[in-house]
Amino acid sequence: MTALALHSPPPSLVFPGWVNLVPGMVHRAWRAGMVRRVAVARLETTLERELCERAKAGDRTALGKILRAYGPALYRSVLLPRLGSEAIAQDALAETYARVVERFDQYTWQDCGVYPWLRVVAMRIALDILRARKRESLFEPEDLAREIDRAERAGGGGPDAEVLEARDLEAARTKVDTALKQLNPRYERAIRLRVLEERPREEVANELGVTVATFDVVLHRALTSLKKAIAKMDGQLAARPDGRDTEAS
Amino acid sequence: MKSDDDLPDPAEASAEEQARADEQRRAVDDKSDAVVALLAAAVSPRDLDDEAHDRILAQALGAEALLPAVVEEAPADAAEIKAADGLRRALDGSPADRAEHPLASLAGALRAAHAPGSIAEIRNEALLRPALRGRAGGGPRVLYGAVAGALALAAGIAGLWISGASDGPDTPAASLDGMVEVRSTAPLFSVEDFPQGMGPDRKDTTSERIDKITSARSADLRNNRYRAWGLD
Repeated sequence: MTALALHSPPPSLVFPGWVNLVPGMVHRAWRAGMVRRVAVARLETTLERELCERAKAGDRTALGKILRAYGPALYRSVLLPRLGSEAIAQDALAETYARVVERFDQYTWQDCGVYPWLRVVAMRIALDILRARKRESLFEPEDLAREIDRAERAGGGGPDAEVLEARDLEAARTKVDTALKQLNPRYERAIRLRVLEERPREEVANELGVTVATFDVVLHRALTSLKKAIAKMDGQLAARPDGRDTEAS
Repeated sequence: MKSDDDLPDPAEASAEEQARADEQRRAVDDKSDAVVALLAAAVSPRDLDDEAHDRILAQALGAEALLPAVVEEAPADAAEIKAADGLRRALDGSPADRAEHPLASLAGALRAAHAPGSIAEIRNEALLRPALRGRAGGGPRVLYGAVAGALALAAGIAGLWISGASDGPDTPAASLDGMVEVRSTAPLFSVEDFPQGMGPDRKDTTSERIDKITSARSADLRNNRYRAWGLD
């Protein structure tokens, strides 16, 4: 998948002055045309390692700096896309923070930085939530279980924060696109325009050449159809002998 | 084998037999009789129409994309129109409305996966600080106050977080020590601020009262932000 969005990070992701970024690393993958430009930027390695050592020794201020740098990326690329609800994703982020604080003494420094470890913690929290909930979701617990397994197999030799974030965002978008491609093109269009682009229903109805009342029915049918398509995709995935998916690994 | 002469005379058929014969004739005419259908299929099989073929193919391949014409145009019955209206109201409603409706919830999940938003910095602080202070009791929880309109939103942001010690297991809540909490607007006003009735000599003070609340809550919000950032 090649590069796509060219957007600036939102103001809430502008890091405070104490975070020393590595300019060459921030958009390296994006410049190479391999991944989407993203907001996360890892801490300078020496500083990050020092903060990790201090945090491991019980320094909450150091741990706070690490989590302030990477928490928003965990929320945006790991938790929100997989849990599908801001309120639930924020609960999950709070739980992730709490678990990181409880278990940071178990963390061992890796050259790829602390973000992959934080990401696994967040995914484990998300997995617990997905298993417990009954509402509609794009991701199944099995999706996350596989990702966690893959991340743990990669160990300390895995990619760093920016690549992981880009990959997570891309995987989520791919999941959406794959599901939408299962639908009738008009259904896909209805969902893209109304749900993804959030355009007014009158405008979408006009674009589809139907009345607003008919459009309501079309959208209802489209989402019902999508729900079935997702269930079918999940069923096919679960039926594979090795249980592996085709997402970026 | 019997000859025609051995068959009973049709003219002597009973009324009951005649009725059965009429029924059989109608079944043959409209090809609803199973034996007739079998014979017709064997002797002169009909082509499968395109719509039916599309349906069968799509079913086999698991892709509704192969149904170009039949998806949308089927008329909706009353139940479907009602369901579609329910979806519309949920999509146009509050986050709670969307969470309650399965398809609206799916739409939200789709949007979150396609273009996830960022968490507000102050919100992130509110989630992080209790964790850094360590857990007490059931863990950090954040309680969202219900807000109505812009004024309530400002008040909600200013004092959104309250202690979660008594929260139920599914109610998230976080606590930020020293922050201004949600509270009544009553202390902001005197009796004169609420004139009774709207006679010709009465001045509507609604705007002034709203200005007063907005100003007070804006100050609360500002102070909370400074406190969250450690600038107090």
